[in-house]
Amino acid sequence: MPMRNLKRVRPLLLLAIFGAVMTALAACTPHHGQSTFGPAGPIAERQKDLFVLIFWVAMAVLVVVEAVIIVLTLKFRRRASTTGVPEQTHGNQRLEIAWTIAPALILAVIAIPTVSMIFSLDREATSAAGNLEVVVTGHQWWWEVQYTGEDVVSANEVHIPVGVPVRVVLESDDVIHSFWVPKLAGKVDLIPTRTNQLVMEASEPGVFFGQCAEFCGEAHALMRFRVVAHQPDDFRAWLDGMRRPALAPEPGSLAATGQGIFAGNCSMCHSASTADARSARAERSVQHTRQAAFLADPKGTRIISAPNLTHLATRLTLGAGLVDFNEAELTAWIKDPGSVKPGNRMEALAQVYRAGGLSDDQIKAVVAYLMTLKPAPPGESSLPPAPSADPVARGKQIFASAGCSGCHSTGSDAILGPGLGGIAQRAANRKSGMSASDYLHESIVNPTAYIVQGFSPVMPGNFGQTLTAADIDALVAYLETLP
Amino acid sequence: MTSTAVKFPTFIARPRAEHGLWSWITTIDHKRIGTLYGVTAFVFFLIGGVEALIMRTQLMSPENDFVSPEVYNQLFTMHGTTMVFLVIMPLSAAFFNWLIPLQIGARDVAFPRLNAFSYWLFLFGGILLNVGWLTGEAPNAGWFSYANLTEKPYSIGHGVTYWILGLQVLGVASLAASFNFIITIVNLRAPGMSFMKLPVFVWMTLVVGVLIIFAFPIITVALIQIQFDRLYGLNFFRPEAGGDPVMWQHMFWLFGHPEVYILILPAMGIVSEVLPTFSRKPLFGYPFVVFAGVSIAFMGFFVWSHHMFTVGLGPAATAAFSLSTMAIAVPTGIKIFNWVGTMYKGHLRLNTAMLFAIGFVTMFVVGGMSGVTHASPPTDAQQQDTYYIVAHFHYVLFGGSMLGLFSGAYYWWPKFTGRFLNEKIGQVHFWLMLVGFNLTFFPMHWLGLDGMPRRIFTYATGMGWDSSNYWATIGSYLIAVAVLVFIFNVFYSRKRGAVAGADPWDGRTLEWTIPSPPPEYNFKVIPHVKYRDDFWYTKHPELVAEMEGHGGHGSAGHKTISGAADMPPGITGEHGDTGGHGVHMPDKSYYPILVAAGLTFGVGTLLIQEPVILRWILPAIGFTFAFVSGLGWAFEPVNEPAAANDGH
Repeated sequence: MPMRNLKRVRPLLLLAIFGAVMTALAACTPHHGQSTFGPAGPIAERQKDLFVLIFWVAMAVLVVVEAVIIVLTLKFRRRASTTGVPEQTHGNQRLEIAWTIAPALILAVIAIPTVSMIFSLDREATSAAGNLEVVVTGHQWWWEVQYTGEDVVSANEVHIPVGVPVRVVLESDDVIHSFWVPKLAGKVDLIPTRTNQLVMEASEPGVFFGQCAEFCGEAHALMRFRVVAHQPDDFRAWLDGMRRPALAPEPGSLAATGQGIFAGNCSMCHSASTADARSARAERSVQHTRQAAFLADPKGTRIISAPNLTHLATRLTLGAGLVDFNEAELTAWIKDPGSVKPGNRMEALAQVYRAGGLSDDQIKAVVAYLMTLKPAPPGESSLPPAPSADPVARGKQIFASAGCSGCHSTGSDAILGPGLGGIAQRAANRKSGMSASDYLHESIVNPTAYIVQGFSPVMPGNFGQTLTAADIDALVAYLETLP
Repeated sequence: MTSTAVKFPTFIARPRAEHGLWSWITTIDHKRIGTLYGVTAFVFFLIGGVEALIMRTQLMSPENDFVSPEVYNQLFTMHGTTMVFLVIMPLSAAFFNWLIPLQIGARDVAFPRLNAFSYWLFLFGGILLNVGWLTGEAPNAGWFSYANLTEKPYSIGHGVTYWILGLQVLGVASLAASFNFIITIVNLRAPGMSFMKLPVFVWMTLVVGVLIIFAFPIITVALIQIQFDRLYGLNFFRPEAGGDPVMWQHMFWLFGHPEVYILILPAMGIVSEVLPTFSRKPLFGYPFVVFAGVSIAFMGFFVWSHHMFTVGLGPAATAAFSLSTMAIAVPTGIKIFNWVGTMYKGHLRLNTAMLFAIGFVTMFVVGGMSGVTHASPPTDAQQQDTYYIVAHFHYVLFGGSMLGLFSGAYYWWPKFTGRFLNEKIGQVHFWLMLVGFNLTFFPMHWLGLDGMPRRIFTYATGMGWDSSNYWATIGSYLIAVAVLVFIFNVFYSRKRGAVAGADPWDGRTLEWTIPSPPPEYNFKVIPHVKYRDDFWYTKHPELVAEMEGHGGHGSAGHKTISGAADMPPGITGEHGDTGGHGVHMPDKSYYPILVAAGLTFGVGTLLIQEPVILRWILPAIGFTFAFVSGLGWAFEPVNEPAAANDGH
């Protein structure tokens, strides 16, 4: 007999335990990094509140229905003493009407706040543009971040001020992704061909976890990011910092060597100096050009859009929210990116990895350089070293820093573009009636005007915007000196 | 019958094997085809299950490296695709095949060779889908394979192509089977069996057939588009060329949501048979259950965008689809309440089949309630693409469909084989599976709300997801044990199972009036049906008066139909009180498997792009072979003239 009693209550007990566990869990873990029960701002809070309303409505229905089923199962189970045929009921029209209308009424309780929140969140997202607008562009498998009207570019880290709703504009350069910071707002997808938006707001300063929520290929699980919420003044200071270039490495230092290696091997995909407004504004079209090169030849290309590294040394994480940012992780990354983030395309595409990778000394130098990538202190001269008066020396500087050396050698080796040794002679004869310097000028500003046989039209077409006229003249002067 | 003027040259003699491999390859008997569907789908169930176990092992601890991300992505893609297209649909088809003729009092389906053709296409399509495991390039873009991730620059290998071509073949199989069953149900019902006297399982089969016929052409078109993008450089979904990847989502889910009901309605039909039998009561509110099924199917075409609440369709569209999604909860609720009403005051016999049926209802309700929470887009924004969704659809498709199918297996096993599955082992199977299932999938609700996205091969330490994942993995192993127990039961009961008579459960429907297992021709005499649950009232004539007094049956149902004009045509053009003599069953045929093989070869070789000559020749060979075999089929008489007098 006690056995039977135990049997009788066991399912109910189980149900009660489930409910209790659920409630306990809900109460215990809002501190988890991506818990939707620990909202850190009003948008996520309202979404949670609506969930909790629906949850309790659903829970009430669930408990009643499950309890009825279990009680009926136990109460009407056939016993040894059961004989004959039970009363043959075929249905009950009134009951049917009742249990058609009742759920409809219960659903209305959910539907009304639902519809009202759909419209209000959309309105708020649009109007939040007045506070701050961040444009996030999805890439396999990282996030490009731009601040509308601020000429600031970053990657894998979104900085926002606390206390104001922020409009996040969502786009994609390759496949579909989804932008999700559970503690700040529900997710919205980033879709090529579309521009989406969401509104998010943090109530307190802090660092919040985000993660791509739409499957986007091999490294989808590792496409994470952080949102950093600052007090408004700190946020302005951060924005200002992003617009101050880094101090140039001391000539002759390890970092200076690293800068050269970076320019020659990394800069065709990674921009590292978009602190000035002009190059920040050009970043989008540079990334487009890189992506176009990849799309034209997904296996053979050596360039693809890649995270902007401006002020990399100020970031919290490396590899799109994957590991803490520090020298050791950075070294490990450059040595073997695939071991830190399987699937990422650096090793597969970059010429330097195809050729066997950098030596340990070279890696040390590149790391030393990357660790200098932070805003110059406001007091100090934050301008890059004064442009050299000598145009050829100035041109040489630009050749290294503007990304030219990523694709062009100064000898006869073809990297992605033709080697430029002795270009002066060839340029003079390339097009009749055009001098060497006119041809070089045209090739920089409008690269597709003449494509050397055997090469693809993949050179960014925006150097006319990112470089000043004086810069281009200096660059041409330098190129003409190449033996 | 056999005197056709046109003669097509016969290349191969009509198959005659009654036993052994060839008898199975050439069979057109709906019961044997049902068995083939069941066994094949169960093998795929084991494959899909192993894929799931590998995934759960990978996720058992954070930062695990049991499998690589690439392999993990292939695993979840193939797990989902397999369970949907190669397990639940064909397991349902196994029940359709076995039961529809038996429940409507017919000797076979309307088109027996087309039925065999559907099976072979399903088998070959399933193999084509899985070829990638052998070449190391299994499909890897998820079971809904969102464009433009499936386009060439992002999915360079053959994986996605196997997926496209395999599904294309499976779609033809499903469409052919659906037409067959719809026509069978409409035309081959026993005399007197009006629509409102159909067993609910037959009703749900009919509804599923209609759903497939309207839903599958949509995915067929979408698959052709993505196939042309990938193989021939078109631009339907390629944004860089002006294509629209969101169009794929609309087309996929316009198919995909009805597909969800294609997966669940057969199980609902099964439960609607099991609950009344073991409650010894008629189904409560039969017309409402039927009408709810029909409404679910109809409304199922108007809710697809709830899979796309985070796509940014704009507030008006989002709100509209939110409301239509909530509305579909109403007919679903009606079904559940009526099942509960059926149990009320019944004499519930809690055997394994009944436990699985009750398990279905209880677990399905959990899935239904979590479904309501993401019918609301603002909360769905936090749930979409998380483990909360994974929990939800496993409660519906495993706790729902699979438990329902297991219920059907235990219920009809005596009819299929003549022996019971062992009851004690069955109870162990049920409880292990119920506990394992809940242990696996209940924590996933929590994981999703705690921010764990789905389709991630690993997660960081310190997110708070470790213990839930650990227990979910343990639960998945329990499910595996439960499945092994079931397999043991099948083998154990083959020889040692208690022999079941024709009517072991005091059944209500026509399949219980004939021997177990049924003879090839099913019914010696095509039955005349007077009532819904006709067999029950034959056995309990004292209940007829009470039933007729109840308005629910409709007056038309009381008329005994005897006029020849009311009789649906039989398979061989003759039926009725022939006392079993002169029952001509159609002969076996090679053509269904030949046409299916030719079609699959033709479609499968489309993926060979190099060298260019093979690109055209191989598919041409396949399609020509299919066409010629099709001609052979078209001119093949139902019965060989020489065999016409053999009888049975």
